Amino acid sequence: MIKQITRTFILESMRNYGVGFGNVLPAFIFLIISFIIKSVVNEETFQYMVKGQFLPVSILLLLFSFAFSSATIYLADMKANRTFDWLKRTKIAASTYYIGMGIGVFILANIALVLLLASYKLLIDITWSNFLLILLMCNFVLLALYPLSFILAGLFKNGKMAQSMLVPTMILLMFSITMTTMFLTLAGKNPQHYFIFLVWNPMLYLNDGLQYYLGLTATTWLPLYQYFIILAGWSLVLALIARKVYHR
Amino acid sequence: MNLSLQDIVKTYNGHAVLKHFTATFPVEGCYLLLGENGAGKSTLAKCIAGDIVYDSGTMHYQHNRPVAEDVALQYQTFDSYSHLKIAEVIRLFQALTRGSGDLTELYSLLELTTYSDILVKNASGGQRKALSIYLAFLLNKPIILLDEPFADLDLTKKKQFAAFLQKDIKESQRIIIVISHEVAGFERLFDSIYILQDGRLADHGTLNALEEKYPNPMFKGIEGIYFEVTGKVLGGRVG
Repeated sequence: MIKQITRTFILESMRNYGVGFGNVLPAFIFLIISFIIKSVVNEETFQYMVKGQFLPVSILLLLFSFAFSSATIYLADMKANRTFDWLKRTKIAASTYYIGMGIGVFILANIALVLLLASYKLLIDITWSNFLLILLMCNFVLLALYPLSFILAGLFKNGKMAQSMLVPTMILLMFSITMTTMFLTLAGKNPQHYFIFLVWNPMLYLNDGLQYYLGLTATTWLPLYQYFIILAGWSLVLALIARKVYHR
Repeated sequence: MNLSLQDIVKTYNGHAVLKHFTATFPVEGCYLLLGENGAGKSTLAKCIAGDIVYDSGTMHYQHNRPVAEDVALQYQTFDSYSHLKIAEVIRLFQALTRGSGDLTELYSLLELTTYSDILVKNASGGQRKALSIYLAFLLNKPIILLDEPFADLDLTKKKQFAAFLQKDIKESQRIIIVISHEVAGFERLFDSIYILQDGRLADHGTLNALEEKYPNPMFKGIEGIYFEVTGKVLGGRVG
């Protein structure tokens, strides 16, 4: 049954070309710009720009749009078009659907992530071990974000409303990390000293992990294993809230 | 086992849609729920199916079990899984229901084979209606609510579907409740007719009993009975 749900989600996502293209486009725009500016700036500046901004923003955008916003819109639409009214009369448990769709989200997001990282690997130095560790970190962030999509889909009436509310959510989740880090670095301060104020944001752990794996920082704010524990904890707590909110 | 509804009340923003609706639907029967738009038919169907919560009253079908667990509701249209092919939606539901029952006859009379490769988003109203009817039966529940099942079906399919319903009720001992305006020529399909007016059950009975009760209606058939009971012409001509 899980396999059937996963297959359904993947098929629907792949056939919805407009949404699929829109999901990967923002992340790949940064990649394209990276290819262009490689010939414009010197190597040291280029490496710093790509590792410090372009690659992290690409990954954040990819995770956000591909796995989080599209899952939220998909779920909100399922609620609006009575899909869940049909499903509740079948023999499927809500948890089975949650897992089946989650596997679909992870497969699609990982395909896009591998393609993106492999493309960036052509431009900057990323060791294979760091490549895999970045993927691992991304998957833990996905784990934390996935139940959030059920919570948001539970709050919004349909996909269109969800879409309009995802923009401020994206600004909050993404720019609270990237802008804070950039401006504190420009001000000559260590961003990690201020990370305590951003613990609520799963993107913090991804961004800090990325900076470390790409060799921009000597250490992470907290030990990496703690990031994985925090993200898994977030996922569990949010999944419990999602269970309450989505089936209101 | 009968499906029994007692004093069902449902209000939306202070406006009562169902006002102490009471009725009993005996097992192994097909029943017609008749009423103008806004009479409360769809609200009643959604209350029985558990899609909306009614304010007060009681529903009873099987001991120690909410009625909604035994109900399949066919919605007027099917808008789910718009990027799946019709055959894929059917396969998905077959897997989710663990392939209950043999529905080859229904599959063939609804001619699902001819458009099984069409994406749901590209399917016509009639094709979606056929899919919706098929899925409602695939759920294999003892109570099936059909919302305008005859609309969008051509005359031949309507006749075949009516014959299928008669056969299915006898074989599976189901309760089938049909909400429809388009019942011309199929009046005999229904064991009993329930007429809703303004959220209440205005009258009910077999076609013969109602014809005897209202011997000289202004119009022929069910439309005449409906006019005699409510003083209104049924939306969409019947009879």
